[in-house]
Amino acid sequence: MKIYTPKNILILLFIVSFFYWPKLSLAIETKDTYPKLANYFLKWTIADYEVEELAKWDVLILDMEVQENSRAQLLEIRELNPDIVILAYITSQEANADIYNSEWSSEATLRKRLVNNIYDGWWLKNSSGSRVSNWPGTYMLNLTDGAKLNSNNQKWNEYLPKFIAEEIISTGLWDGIFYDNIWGDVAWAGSNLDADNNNQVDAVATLNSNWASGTKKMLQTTRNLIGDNYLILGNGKVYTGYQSFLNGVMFENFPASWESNGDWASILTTYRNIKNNNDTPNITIINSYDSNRQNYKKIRYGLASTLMENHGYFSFDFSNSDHGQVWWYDEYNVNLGQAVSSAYNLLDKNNTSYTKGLWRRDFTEASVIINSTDKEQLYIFNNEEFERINGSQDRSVNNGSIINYIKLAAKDAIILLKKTSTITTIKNTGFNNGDYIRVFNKDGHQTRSGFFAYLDGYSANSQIIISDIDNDSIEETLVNSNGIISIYKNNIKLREFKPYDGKFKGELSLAVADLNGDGTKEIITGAGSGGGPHVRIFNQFGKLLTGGFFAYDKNFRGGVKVAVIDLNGDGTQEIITGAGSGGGPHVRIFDKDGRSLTGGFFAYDKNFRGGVSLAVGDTDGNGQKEIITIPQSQLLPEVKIYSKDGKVIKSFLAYDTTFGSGFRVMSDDLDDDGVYEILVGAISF
Amino acid sequence: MKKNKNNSKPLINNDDLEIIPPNNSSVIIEDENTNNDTVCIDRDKVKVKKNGNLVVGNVNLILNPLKKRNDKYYRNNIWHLIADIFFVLLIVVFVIFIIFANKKFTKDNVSLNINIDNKELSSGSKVSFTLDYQANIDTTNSFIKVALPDDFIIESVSPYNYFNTSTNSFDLGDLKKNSKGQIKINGSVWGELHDRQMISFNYTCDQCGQTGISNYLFYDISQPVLETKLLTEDIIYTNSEFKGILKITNNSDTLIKKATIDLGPDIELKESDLEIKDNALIIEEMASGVSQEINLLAILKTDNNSLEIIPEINANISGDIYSFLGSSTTLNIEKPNLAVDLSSDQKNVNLNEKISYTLNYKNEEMVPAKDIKITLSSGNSNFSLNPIKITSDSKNIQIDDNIITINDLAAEESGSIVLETSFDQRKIKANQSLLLKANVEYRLDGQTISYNVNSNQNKLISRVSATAKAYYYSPQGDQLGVGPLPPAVDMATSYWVFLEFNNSGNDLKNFVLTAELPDNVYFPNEKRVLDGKIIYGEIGKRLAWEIPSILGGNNNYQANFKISLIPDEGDLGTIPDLLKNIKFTVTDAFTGQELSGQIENINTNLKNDKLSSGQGRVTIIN
Repeated sequence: MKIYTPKNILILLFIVSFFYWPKLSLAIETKDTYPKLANYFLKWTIADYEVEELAKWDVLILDMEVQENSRAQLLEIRELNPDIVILAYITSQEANADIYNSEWSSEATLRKRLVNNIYDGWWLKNSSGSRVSNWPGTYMLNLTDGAKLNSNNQKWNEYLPKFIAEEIISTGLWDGIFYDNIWGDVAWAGSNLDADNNNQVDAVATLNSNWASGTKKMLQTTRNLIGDNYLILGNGKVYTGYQSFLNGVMFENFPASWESNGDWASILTTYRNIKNNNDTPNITIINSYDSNRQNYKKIRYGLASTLMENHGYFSFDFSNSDHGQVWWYDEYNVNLGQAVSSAYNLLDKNNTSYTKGLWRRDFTEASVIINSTDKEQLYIFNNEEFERINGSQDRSVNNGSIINYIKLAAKDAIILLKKTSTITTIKNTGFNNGDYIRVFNKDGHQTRSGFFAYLDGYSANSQIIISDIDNDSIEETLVNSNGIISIYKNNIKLREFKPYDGKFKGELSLAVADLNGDGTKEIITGAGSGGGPHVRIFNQFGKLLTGGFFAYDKNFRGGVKVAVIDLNGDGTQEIITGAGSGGGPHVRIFDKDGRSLTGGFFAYDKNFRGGVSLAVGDTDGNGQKEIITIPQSQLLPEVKIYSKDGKVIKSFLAYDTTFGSGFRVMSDDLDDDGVYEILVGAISF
Repeated sequence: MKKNKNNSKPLINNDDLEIIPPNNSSVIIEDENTNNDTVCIDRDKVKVKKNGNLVVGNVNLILNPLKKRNDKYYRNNIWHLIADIFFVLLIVVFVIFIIFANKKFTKDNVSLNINIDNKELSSGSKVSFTLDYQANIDTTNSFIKVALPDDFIIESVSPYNYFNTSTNSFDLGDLKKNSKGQIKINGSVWGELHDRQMISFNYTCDQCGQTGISNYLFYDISQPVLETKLLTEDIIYTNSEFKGILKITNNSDTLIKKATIDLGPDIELKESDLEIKDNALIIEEMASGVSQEINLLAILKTDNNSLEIIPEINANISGDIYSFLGSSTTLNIEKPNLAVDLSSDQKNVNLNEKISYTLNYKNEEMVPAKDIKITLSSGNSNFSLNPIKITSDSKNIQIDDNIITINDLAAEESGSIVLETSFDQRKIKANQSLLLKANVEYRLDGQTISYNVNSNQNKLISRVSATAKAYYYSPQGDQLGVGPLPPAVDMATSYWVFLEFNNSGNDLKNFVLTAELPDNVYFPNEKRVLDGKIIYGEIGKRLAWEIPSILGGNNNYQANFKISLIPDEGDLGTIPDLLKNIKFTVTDAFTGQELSGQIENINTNLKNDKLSSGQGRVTIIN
């Protein structure tokens, strides 16, 4: 029988590739949205209050002692942020020989274990036989092959990888190792170094060469021992010879004087190029620090520089002697989305090489601009408008204003959000055509600028919902006017239907959701003021699926507001209702057949009769949607956020107490960051 | 074609032939060349069965056989004729006997007796009909079918389980001899006053002959559903206001909803205890047996000496609309002895505008009129009258608190004064007219006479206004505009313009607001048009906001849009206009008057924007 047929070979290749696939790539996936954030947090323990904070970063570099001192906290961080990458910090060329006498000795389990096994012939010594110190309290270790062998015939550059593999990586707590201080040379550490232990001062060139070879050997050994499923990062001046063993490096104290001549353009060039030499996945960390936590300009400059390339993670903390802060900045809260351009110089658009200039990079949700020149730059956008971040820290920059030009100080940068004021950004939630929309987060902070929700082609005050109801990846626009719902796709009217048989011509509350699991969305309607509390459900073609149900007394004529929520997390959406003006503030939840599922709750005082507008959205990004309400009239415009079981989570005023009435609440994730914004609309202005 | 035996006379056979009537125009073609006794047949239109004969002419099935018997028998012997006649008569008598005998026989088989519980019926009253029946023989397949009068509304029947609602019949089945029973029908009767109505019961069974046995009951509608009676003063003066009381009684046993009572075009209703709509009184609902007295204030609109008023009533009864007439009332009309006439030359007026009225008076009696007092007030309750001034010679006339006192007038004495006043609006309603109402009171021969006179009507012109405001920040502090503030040379600063049009009053049409954008102001086509539409022409830099029709009342209309200013060096230090030559026109559909207005230019100082007002002077940013 002929077995080497092309068909059989293909099958064999498929099977083989299946078995070998995990070994071909790391299990770690780096995110493709920005900003990417790293925290260089070198405390040996993690306090409980720091857990939730640290879980917000994408990459954590934690001291290796954390695995012994704060194992539970480490696990909790992973639980809070399953996508987080956590690297164990270790120094490659130094150790605290006197760790037992250190005030932190009780927290230095691994260090003591390491020091216990350091053979005296591994210390880096000078020609007089004294150990060399480069950092207070530590002595340098000899990474060259000139180091002596211990009783196990190991040198330091062989022992350290073994220690890492057996004592750290084997715990399963880490995604990789972070080697601090891997320099391409060592002659800077002293003028009389004797790395080959021949009691003679080593020649500089030979010394540096041996050092680099020894470091490479350590890195290679590390990779061999821990395999390709773990990351290896290094910190120190970028040395090209190491990069193939590393997944990335840290540019500490950006822009550091020791790195690439210390100027921004050269460092950025190195930053850009280094990814070509590193292993994948590629994680490069740009770390800036300043003892002034509020040096926002420096933060922006470092972050924006990081954002010029794909592979960078930004870190900001106190100093090189105190990396251990959980400082969080307004810029960190912004979802820039995915990158849609490479970095380009607004002052010299044809030159892609990093030079001093006004550099810009565009993302789906924002643009980043950095002024690396030595003077203030004025730039006027041509037919572009942006929103500044509406932050709470540096209001001189992040004040939420809409702009069409910027004046950027030297060595400063800014993140500019794309304007939200395009109505097509409101999806899957109904709005009244012409309403002015204010955008809030769950804390009542106006995160984005307001805008007019107005589509010129449809009647003012008609109710509109934009959603892909037929699941073909093209959105339909549903418009209610005079009791007729028209469905448009690509501005072409597909069909129309009368949800209440033409008997009710007023305002409707609209919602869409796949209630029956058929893959397309049903259209849920509630009659507005003047109509009964009649909820009806139609398929995508406007065909009535059930007779509907009365959410409240059928003789009530204040109408009913509708929204949908998956109450019990079973993947099936339930219908949630609020009574219109004249009814009590009773929020009720029904299944698609009109069966009341819970007793509901009163969103406001039970004697209030001004009507309740409601919406549903995941306002805190925890994967669970909340119920959001606002009184339509008579009360202050107090937005309330309820859990599914009717408990108040938050509340805030959407407008001044003197502002009119006719409020509507909606919710949608406008900036695709996984957190729904709360939208409050009013026709009066 | 079949041939007859003697070939001289065609056989008439419906199986073979179509019989064509002689005047069938569809197949007959007139032929002027032929004799009048003959016709020509269109062969294309005549369809004859295959193998059939065609007969043309008159066919007489009775005379032809008699003619044949006459030729054969009667001509020869008259006794044949007598015998034939006798024989035919014998057959006829026999047939009649059979029919009558059968009728008499079946009628005795069943007894039917109808009763009614109320002989004095008003339209809408509830009534019960009972039918007592007795089978005098065994009957099978017995049914009683009920024929109800028109508009009778069945409420219940018994025995209900025997009753078929679709055929209005009771299925009694097989009844033994001497079986008795009763059928009862409850419902309400409806009809015009004096209508005679009938209910009938028809008993059918296998033994009841072809038509069955029937019994009937007649009754009369003696009272209308709603009884109306209009009570007024004995004498009403021509074209004057009068008071009256309309007494309405619901004679029916039913709740009446949404009834309208129209007293006719010669009575203009002004005020009433009930709502007045389209000059008719509206009764929301009236329970059975209830009487209501409605106070009226109306104007008589006829010059006749008398007026017969027959109210026309429409009412919703059990979901159906019924129309009927109320009781007649005749008004006696007289012309006032003291003739007073109020008129204004103005046609359309603005609110609060001074209106001049001429009041003419003349004593047309032959005796003096004394104690003459004319009390003036607004004839439209949505307005109040401001103090009146007499602007002409007012000798022998005094005015105080809008009451004019005229000294005694001799017979045939007359006079005239000119008054000036204005009105305040109490309630904003569309399409209103102003009129002055005068209550004239005087004494004549010791009798006090009082009547009302109204002036001609002045249509009130709608109050309209428009505003144009520009904002960088909304009144609530939201940023609407974008760009440097104050504006800077060669840099774009955008603002939002809010146009608003207010109408208080009448229906309007063809509203157009136009404006011009200065040279360095641009229209980016971002807008929010809540009413009407906005058109912009870049060539002339002209903008138009149009609303084809505007409903009356008190409403405002809005359109907002963005404009963008890019100042040039020549603008440095100036406060440029953003919108200029802002004008509007609109036609008042009620008065026909064209209304217009002009709004001052909007500039970058944004006087309405409390957050950025005053930051309009163009600067330069380096």
